[in-house]
Amino acid sequence: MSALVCQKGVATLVEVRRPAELVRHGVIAGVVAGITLVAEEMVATVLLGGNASDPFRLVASVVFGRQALSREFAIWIPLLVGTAAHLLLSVLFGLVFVLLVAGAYQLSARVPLLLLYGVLYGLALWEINVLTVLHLLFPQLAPLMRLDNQIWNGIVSYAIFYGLVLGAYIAFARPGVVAEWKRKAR
Amino acid sequence: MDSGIDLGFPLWIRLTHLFNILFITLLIRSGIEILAAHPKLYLNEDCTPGTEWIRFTPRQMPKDQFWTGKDEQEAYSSWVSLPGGKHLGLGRQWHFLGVLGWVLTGLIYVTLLFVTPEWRRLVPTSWDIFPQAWQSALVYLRLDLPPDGNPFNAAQQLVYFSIIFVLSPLQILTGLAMAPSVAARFPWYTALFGGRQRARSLHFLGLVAFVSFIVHHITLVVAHGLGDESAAIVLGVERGASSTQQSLAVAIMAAWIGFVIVVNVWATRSARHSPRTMQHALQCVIDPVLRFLLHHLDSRQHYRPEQRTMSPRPNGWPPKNAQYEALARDGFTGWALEVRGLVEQPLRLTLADLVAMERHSQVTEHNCIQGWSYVAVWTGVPLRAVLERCRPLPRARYLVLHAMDNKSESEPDPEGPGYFYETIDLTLAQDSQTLLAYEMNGERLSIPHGAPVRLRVETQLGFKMVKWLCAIELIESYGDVGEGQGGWREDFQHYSQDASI
Repeated sequence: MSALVCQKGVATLVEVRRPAELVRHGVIAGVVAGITLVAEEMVATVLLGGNASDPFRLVASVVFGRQALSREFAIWIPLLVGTAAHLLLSVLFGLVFVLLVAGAYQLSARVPLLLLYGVLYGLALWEINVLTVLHLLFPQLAPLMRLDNQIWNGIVSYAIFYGLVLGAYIAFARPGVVAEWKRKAR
Repeated sequence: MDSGIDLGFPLWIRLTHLFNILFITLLIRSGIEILAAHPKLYLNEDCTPGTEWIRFTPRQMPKDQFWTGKDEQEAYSSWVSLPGGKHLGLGRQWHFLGVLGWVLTGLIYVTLLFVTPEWRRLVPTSWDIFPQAWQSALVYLRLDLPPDGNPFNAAQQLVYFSIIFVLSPLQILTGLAMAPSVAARFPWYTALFGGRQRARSLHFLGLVAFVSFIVHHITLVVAHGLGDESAAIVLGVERGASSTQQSLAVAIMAAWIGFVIVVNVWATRSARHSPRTMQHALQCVIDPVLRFLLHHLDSRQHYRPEQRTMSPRPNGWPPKNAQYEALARDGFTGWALEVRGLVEQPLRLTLADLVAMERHSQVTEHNCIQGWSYVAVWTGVPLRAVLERCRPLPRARYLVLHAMDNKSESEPDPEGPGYFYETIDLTLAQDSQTLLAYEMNGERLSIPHGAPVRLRVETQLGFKMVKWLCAIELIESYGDVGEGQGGWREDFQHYSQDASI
């Protein structure tokens, strides 16, 4: 931490927000939240009477169409493509979350607020991804969206098992933590 | 909810919708500018540093050195705030202009809503609206669209009703609760919201709710069909609009959004590059309305002494000159207040003279223009008593209050040069709670809070209450004082001369 040198005005502690640091934390947050989300979706799908591979097949069907949903379709393709696509999107959205939090000066926000931001962000993602993008770009998948599926694999998964984890990660890692803040003269 | 009457989208609904878009964007952006002046929100009236429940600043104030409220201000980008870059004065004026336009549009809308059968489109007439809205929500969750209503389905009706009859009034009421003149005259009203800071927090949450509504509204318009929905709200063609009509409606809506963007860009650039012109133009519209509504309110605040804030935040850096420092060293025994100008009897009052005059104490809330507040016990001489002694001439209309601080010397980052001054009119000066205060919380006024004497005008924002006072001058017009705008902050920060809101 540099010395406090300020002839006129106040020297304050200011968050350090190095772009490379934010990107690194965004990627990690996205991976952690993405793995949590897919694990929860596998469990929820089984509990709702489906097969643990269904979430992968659903993601893969974005690439291969409805045939990827069929049991005859080789499982390793959806597993590979589904996992890759899911993690890629998780990282992308994790990165966006960290950048949004930093952009709104919320890296040092109280823990409950960060968790709330995560939940709201998860809900927003669900709304954009599932309610709008999927509806507009992949209408063939819309009939698959049963209500119970939407509630557990949609709202709850996105808000709690993705968004909340993102918020918790920021609260834990605190990119731009006080100890790293620099004193800056106004 | 089907009334049997085809409610449709009459012209006045379509026009008020368009104007609403314009005023809401001005309100949101200028509201963010106001937030930037003190980007922290509290649930307590004391605003003690560190007790904010949320803050929008990367800055943490130091505990080992002196700082003032002004040091907490942020400069937000013009992309999100109007006009951006620490232009609180013009941001506030754009906000108030937005309020006038938005409230007028809302009044026209609500009036026409109730003098026509159109109120049925929004106002639920049966408790069945709740289960019906739930069913509509479930349909949305299944990625499907509920059947059209007349003209809205139950979920849409409930949401629009809440926005127009709950959220919008809440924003107006919490906005009013933050006005110092309203809080001073009707303290019970501000108390309804739990105090000024809770009202400020609610006002902010209302902003978040509005932004959230706008995002969801646009998303669902796209989901329902942009062409169809645009044809309804722009052309009034409800169902079965032709593709030509849909395209025309989308084009008109896009053109209007373009116009809204142009207005916002123009407002931002004008405020940044021609602030004085913009200040005068905005004041022409806003000031008469504010003066009519708020200026006559007198202060009736009576907080209990135990409600006072333990560590009140100071604002403005104390004078930095040899004369003031010498006066302070001697406990201000050599200080005297000059009263001059349009008076029958010019005065020169020492601190001992003021202390010997009529003594008055009051417990009031200090409201800074930035948004923070504190409660303190003030003791001093009613300004009315000084005016009775100097006897203003009939031509006298304003008081100029001169301070000992030269902003060029005292402020680390001054917005303007020269000695600080503010003006108030004679009506305000004669208010029962307008004081020349020499004590704060039972002790002699401290230097950060304005020693030896400062002004208290409880219906006004804090910047009007000149600290480190040295002279009072009675004048007919403030046009020839400083830059002629009615005060140092009006001259250099483009604040409004009337600070009742």
